[in-house]
Amino acid sequence: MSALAAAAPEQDRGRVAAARAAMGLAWSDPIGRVGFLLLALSVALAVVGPVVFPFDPTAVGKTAADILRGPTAAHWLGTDELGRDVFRETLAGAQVSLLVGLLATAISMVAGTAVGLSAGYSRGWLGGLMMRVTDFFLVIPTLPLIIVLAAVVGQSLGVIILVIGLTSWASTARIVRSQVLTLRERVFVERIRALGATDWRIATVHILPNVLPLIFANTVLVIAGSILAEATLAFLGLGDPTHTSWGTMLHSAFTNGASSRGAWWYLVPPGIGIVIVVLAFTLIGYTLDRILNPRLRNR
Amino acid sequence: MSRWRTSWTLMAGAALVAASCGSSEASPSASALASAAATSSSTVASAPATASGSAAPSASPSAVVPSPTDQPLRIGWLSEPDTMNPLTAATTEAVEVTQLIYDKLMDYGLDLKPEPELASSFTQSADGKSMTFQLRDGVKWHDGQPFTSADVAYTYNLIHDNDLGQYAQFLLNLTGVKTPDALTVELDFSAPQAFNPALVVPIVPKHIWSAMSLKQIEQFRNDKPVGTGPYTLSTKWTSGTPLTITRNAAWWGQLPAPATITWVRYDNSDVMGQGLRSGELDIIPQVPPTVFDGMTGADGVKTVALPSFSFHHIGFNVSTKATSKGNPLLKNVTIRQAIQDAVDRNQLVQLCLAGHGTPGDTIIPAGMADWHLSIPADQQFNANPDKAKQMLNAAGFTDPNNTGVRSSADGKQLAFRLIAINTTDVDVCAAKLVVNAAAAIGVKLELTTLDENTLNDTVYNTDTPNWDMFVWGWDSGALDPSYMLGVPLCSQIGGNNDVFYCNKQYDDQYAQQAVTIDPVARKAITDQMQREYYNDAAYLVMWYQDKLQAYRTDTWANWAQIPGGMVFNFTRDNYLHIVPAR
Repeated sequence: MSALAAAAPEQDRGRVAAARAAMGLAWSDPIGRVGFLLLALSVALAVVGPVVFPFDPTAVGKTAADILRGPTAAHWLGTDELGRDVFRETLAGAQVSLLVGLLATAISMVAGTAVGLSAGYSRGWLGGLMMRVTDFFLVIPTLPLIIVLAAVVGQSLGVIILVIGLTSWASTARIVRSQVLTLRERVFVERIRALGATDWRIATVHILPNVLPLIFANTVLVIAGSILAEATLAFLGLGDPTHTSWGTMLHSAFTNGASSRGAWWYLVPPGIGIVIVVLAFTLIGYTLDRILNPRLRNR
Repeated sequence: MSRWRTSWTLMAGAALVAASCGSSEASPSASALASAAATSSSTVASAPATASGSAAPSASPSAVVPSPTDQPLRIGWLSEPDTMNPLTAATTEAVEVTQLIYDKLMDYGLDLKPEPELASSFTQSADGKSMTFQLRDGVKWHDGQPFTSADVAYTYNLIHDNDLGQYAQFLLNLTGVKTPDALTVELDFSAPQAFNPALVVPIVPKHIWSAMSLKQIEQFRNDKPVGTGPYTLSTKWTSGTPLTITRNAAWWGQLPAPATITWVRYDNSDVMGQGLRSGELDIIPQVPPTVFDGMTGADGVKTVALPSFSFHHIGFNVSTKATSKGNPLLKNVTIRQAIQDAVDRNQLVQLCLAGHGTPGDTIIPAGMADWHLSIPADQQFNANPDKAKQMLNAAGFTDPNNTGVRSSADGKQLAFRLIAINTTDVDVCAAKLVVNAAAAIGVKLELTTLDENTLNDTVYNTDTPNWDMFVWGWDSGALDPSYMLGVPLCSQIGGNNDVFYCNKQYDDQYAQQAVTIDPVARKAITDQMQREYYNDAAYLVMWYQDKLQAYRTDTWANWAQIPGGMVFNFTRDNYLHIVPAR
């Protein structure tokens, strides 16, 4: 046991170095670099933007002339259906959209990894059952399920995060399981088992770190999907009406006739915001996937 | 809920009064319809000017007699009927459809004056307590059975004896229904009647309905309605699909031109407007205020702004039932008044209606100019957050720890749930502004949006209402103050009464106005009732909106532009009088 304990930090150091190397590779990849730059830009806007240009949802217009008004010096991107500033609203929406995307992904990753790891590692009925549950979630049309859940459970931001997280873990579980299936047959696992390590220890200390790179690449892609899912839900009117996200902005723009009225300044900013953030995460995700996934590695 | 209609009650009231006092005959003959159509243009011309300068177009319907054609009429709507049962129908959509399937004894014409329908003539006794109707001969139900006075007696007794549905409020004093022969009906009342219930009560067939128990009737969905009206619902309608009714070739009147009338569901009024522009629809009952001005110049589309008999309001759950799950703090009138004071109704009209409406005060819409009571500005609960804060402070609702939300002395927060219909954009807009306004006086509102039928079920859960506040609207179902004033009656709990308000004194006044035939004396009572209900603040009347409608000029012509709207009004006559445009 003492030999094992001593080996762990050694392994960790190796993994940190490997992660750093992977990131370096991703950065040197032109596609990956574009992704990182876009992400840095949107995070900076989401974090710094609302501090410099705070959005006050109660700062509504006074007369009918103030609503859905084109860009002016006072309102750089015009006003929304209540006469509020679209530029500031877009910055505030970035925060909510990113927050939902990241938290929903965290839930999805924890659930997906736990299920995938246990399903891949355990040989008995438990693994089979876990996989059937995963298959069940895989074949359910996700969007209708999310719509039904959001409609039944409610519209608070927390519920939406939970709903997106719980409907997007199945593919992660599949990926993790397939990797665990090959890892558990490796010689080093046999060796550790022969030394008397428990299943729990083998799974968490020795197998999990080896699937982490895959999980990481997958996480970045799931974030993009979660942000899109939130925008979709909100656009369909199932979002939290008390928080401004890009999706709720598009919903309001659409229902208040921004398109008929030609109010492009209300539709375009949240639309571009979604495109940039989702594109950033997708580019980074694919680049990391190509570097970290042994089957895709072409070096 | 049957929601939205303005009133023109001086005219209608006067007509009714004349009819009741002089035992005069109702204007007979179907040919009167044509002249009614001709006069409707003057009706529009004299209508109160609506905001936004969209003066009612002067295209007056010509006195063309329609003839049956193969052409369909296609209409958009944003929510669906709750039932096809004409006696328990709550939504405007259900009333709109069933009024073409079921006839009444009398109805409103295009001039919004009473005209005969199933009754060919009508007389009222000198004391105003008895009404006699001579029925049309040869009228048949859709299933071929003959229509007789027994059907009328059955319907009126069913409503009155069981206090069934929203029409019961007009039959409170009914003492008996006599049927001397198969084509004569006499309604007897214990007091003179200022309003003629024959204008609103649909007649249902005894041979089908009498087989059901009261409980069955209350829950009756009526998927295959059998009426005497000009249209029939031939195929079962399921929610989510377009609803089509077909012309009844055996109808007793002049057959209308549209072979079928189809209502198509849209989730969004803007998309519905696009449907009209692209020619998928012939008329839309509702144009979003934000695109109304822009649509005015569109090709082949005519927009019309008409005064309405409608208002939108926020209802407070004031149910006194022990099983109510509403926040009990809302039973405190000071809190309700304070929330009302926090809200700036002019801001709501400007921002949510783009100015196409009038700020609201009492429950009789301003369009019913002769009955509406204007509350003087210094007595209103409106746009005065400072007063609201003082009232709450004085009543002991304070925020000692500066949390932003006030609490009662025993620590209960002034935090309420607010629900609105997700497809009614103006309501969602208003809800957001009201949330802001309430926050400014330390009252927290939590907004959730639902679809209309879910909101309907939630609000009208009489035994265990699990809600605090809602945003919704009303269309007056009749051109008479008794319709809107009847909503807050104790007896309408389980019927129209959506906030479970109950005030015996108010109920007594309602009974009194219903038997006061002199318009001046009656108005004195209705004014008092409006003020009382206003001060009790169970309704926050936000606005009286203009009815913004639009139709295609290349498919159907002869639309009469009347107060209350071309369609979704309490007269169905536009459906019966339009003619193909070519």
